[in-house]
Amino acid sequence: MPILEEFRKVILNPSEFLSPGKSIGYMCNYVPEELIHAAGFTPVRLNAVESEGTSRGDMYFSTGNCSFPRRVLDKGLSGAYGFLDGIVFMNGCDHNRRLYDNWNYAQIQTPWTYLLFVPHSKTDASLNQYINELQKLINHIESIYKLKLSEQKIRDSIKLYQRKRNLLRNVSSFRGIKLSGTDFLMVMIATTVLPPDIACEKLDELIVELKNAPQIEKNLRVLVTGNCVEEIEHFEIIENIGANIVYDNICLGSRYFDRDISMEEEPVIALAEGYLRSPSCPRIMNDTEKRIELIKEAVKKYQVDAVIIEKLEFCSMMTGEGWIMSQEFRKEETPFLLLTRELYGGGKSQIRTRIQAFYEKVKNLK
Amino acid sequence: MELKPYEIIKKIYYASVLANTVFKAPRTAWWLLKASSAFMYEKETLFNRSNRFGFQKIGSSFWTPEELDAYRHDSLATSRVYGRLLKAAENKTPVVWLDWPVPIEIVKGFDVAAYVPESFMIAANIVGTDGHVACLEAVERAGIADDICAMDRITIGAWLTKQIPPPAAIIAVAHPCDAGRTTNQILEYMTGAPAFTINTSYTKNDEDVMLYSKNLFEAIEFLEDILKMKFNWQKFEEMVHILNKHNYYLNEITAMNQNIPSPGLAYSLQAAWLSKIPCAGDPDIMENARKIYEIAKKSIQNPEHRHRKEKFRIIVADMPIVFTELFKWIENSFGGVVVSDYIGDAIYPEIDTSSRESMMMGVARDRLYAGMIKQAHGKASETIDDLERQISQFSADCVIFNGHQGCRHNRALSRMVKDVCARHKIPSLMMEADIFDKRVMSEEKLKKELTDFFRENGFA
Amino acid sequence: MIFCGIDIGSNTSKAVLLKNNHIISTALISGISNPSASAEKVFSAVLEKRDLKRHDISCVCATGYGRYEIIIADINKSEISCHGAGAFFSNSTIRTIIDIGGQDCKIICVDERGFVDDFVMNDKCAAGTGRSLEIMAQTLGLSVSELGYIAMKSSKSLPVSNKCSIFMELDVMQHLLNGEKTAQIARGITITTARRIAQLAGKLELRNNICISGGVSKNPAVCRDIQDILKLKLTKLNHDPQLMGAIGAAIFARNKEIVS
Repeated sequence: MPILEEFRKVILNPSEFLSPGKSIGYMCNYVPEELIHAAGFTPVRLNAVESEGTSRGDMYFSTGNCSFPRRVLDKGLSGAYGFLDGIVFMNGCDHNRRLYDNWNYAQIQTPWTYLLFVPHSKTDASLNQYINELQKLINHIESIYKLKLSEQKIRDSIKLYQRKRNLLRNVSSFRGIKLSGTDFLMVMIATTVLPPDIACEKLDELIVELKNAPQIEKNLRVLVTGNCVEEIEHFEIIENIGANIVYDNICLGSRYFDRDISMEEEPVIALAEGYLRSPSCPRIMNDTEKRIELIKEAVKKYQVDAVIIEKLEFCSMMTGEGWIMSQEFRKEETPFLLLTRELYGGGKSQIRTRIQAFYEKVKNLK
Repeated sequence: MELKPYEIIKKIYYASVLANTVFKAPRTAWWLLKASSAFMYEKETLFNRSNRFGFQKIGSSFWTPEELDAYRHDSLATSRVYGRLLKAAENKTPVVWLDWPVPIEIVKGFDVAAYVPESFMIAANIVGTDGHVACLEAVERAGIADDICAMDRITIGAWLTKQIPPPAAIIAVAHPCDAGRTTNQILEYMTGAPAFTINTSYTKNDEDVMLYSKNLFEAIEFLEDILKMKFNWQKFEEMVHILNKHNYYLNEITAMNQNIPSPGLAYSLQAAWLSKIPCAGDPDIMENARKIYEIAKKSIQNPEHRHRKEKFRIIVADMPIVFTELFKWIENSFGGVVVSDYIGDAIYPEIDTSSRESMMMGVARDRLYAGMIKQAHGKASETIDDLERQISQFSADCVIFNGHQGCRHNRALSRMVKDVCARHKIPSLMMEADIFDKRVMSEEKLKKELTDFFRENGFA
Repeated sequence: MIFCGIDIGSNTSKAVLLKNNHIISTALISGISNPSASAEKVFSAVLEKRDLKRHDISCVCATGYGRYEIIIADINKSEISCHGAGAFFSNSTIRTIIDIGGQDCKIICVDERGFVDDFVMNDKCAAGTGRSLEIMAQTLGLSVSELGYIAMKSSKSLPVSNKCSIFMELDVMQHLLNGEKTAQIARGITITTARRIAQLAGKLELRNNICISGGVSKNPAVCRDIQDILKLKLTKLNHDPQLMGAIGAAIFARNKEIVS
């Protein structure tokens, strides 16, 4: 499909598709892009795609830290994010919280940075706290750019992003039928970098092409869960050995697009509710049961043969979450593989062996 | 090592009762400890295997009779906590588990056994060299990855090896670390107990602490609902008053440690931190602090009474608790005095006792100033500014910064820490030992690294 | 019909010929870095022993880390499935296989057909693998088999870090500097290796009977410590435990031929 090539180009060189001085970086899923967009900027999700390694990042982080922030910092130090006008970081986890600190300490030339504190539960008290923190972020953006984020502007952005999420949901439904999970991941990475109106145009085109596309080869139906997965090569390994990723439960996947923001409520409250109370990532406490329930439902709905639980090395949160998931899937007799890896970390043959053996096991069980 | 159910808490209970009894005659106790030090101190043998760390916890024969007399009160408070816990296990009465950054006062206001699973780690050390290792291995056997903090893994291991009674409810915190968060999720899953999560403040500013304290009020409501009991506000108030006095002494000892030469009581402050977690609000830990404060005062007034000459001053971050005698070993071997450590350093603000709200805000803020939480929450400046302050206030000659394997935020700051020390023109040692898992780096290796560092920098 | 299984491991390459459900030839070579060249060499060696030619072989199945690069192979299977099938072939009462290879260790559970129904594999860290034992043995100035032999003699052990190979090596060096007894250090190493494996074993349910395959299975001290720590009794295999991967691959070559 020709449109997929365009998405690939975006990934390789995102700044080409962005207006100079009009982009603000963010990470990760609890930073409402709508607020950045309403201020007239394109929210660009920070990623480690095309990063060259961790050696520069390791001058600040230790090798006992997650490879994701180490690579993102390395990318920042290489100047790859020089086109950003500012960055909104958040306390996603301890490693990412320190990415904000090390980014500033390393004096990367970003005009401004901000650390958004997002609460770790879905209670009413947390919601109020989150609304408060979002208001602080709005004040920060308003004071830097001397502008007013009116309710109308935020509402317009909510509408646009809701359209984008709906389109992504639509594209996602072609997975396992006409679209590979690998290509979908590429679409996700590209559309979280592109200006939302352009992303929507391209997603519209993709849907047209998908309708006319031939069916892909049938294979084992796999669901991937975990948190930070962005390596296209990794998804290629998973699929090329003999599987189709038919659904996911990752940050650059359903956790991003499976979110609805109300147009009825006051926009900041609507954003806070929509972001905090949508399917959560393991950083949110007292919600593990619901998260696993959601995966169990997806396993049934998408007739999943097997689940791959992705964990990045040193990710404390996935240590607990992955273990609890393992217990639950074992009870349900859902075949699963808990895969620990480093982001772009090599060890390809070992990962391939595990996945291949896992598929062989799943076929034996059938 | 196989653990019998409740073996560790039983041993800590009997050990603290024994310490409290023996230390009533501190001078005799001192001689007893001195006499057994030949067998207990330097090296682990079959004879001292199960008691060596307990011996170290009570000062490794280095404490003076006065310090032993003070520590008696800590033992008494500790025996109360563990005695109540054992009783609750026996009678199957409710036990509330709370994550260590949660102010224990909000649970002690109920007539239940309040228990901080993380403080079990210290108990596990005392039960013997391999007490905590047995817990860690149980976690490993359960298939839980070892990339979370060892303290949290020991906590999980305690549950797996049936060392702590089941909880009627769990009060957890969302911050300051991922490991604590994930551990609570595992424990909630394993025990099936109802849980409440407190959003610990990311900053120390009033607005955030206020939100944090509102969470504490909600936690009390949650417990009232689960336990079908009323919270005793009068008891809470009493505990806050004790806490204020306790903090006063701890702050004063910290300040006196800044003196040149230092009274060298960082070790006692560390021990006070350890006992404050499960025993905050207990009059006996306050009494312990008061007596240590008197010792510090005396030491400053009569510096000639100090048995070793202070050659250089050290700040230590996260020294392995399992090798607790290291502060004194450094002092005896090199004349280096640990003037401050990350854990014990006390700069607690006074709590306004004029209303329930102000007291709740006070206990919330108090825990934000507790060692480890003080540095770990929020932005890097919390750690770095604190270190800068300590280097200046304590006139430190060097900093020993231990890796603390599972502490991810800390490990992300190694460059900043090194640079702070370089700015102050003092050497720093970055170690890769683990504060709670003795298997990561052996005691001998640790001592060798320290020796090399002191020699290379002209301290020895 | 004759079927061939080739196992290209990180330290050694193995080949097995299977005819009428009997092993008719085996070969083991070590020390070639290129998987394709190793496969060629071990294939020639196994054929030579029975004076066979390539065209006599109906199907070749490759396994091991180099399985994708082997041109002579008709199919490839993961070493996990192959070790499972191989051990089951060798002793059909086996349900769990602890395979400790050069670069990794795995625990494999098989069903009553010899098919994998669960497995775990170590992460990238080498601690607890054959390679780490080799490094430790070198540090002590011994060969791996000497290390196993010496460790067997000692009932006492010295603590050796279980964190990673580098930490292990540092501890071993420290003990040497302190003039500790080699046997006690060696025992510390084998106990730590066994502990790493026990850690892995916790992730699944071990079922009897249990055996060890892979190069480390020839180390008596590690086997003894695994039995002690995991509180289990190991069952013997009827063939060289190092050949399990290749035997399993030959079985898959046979199955493939039967299916097609």
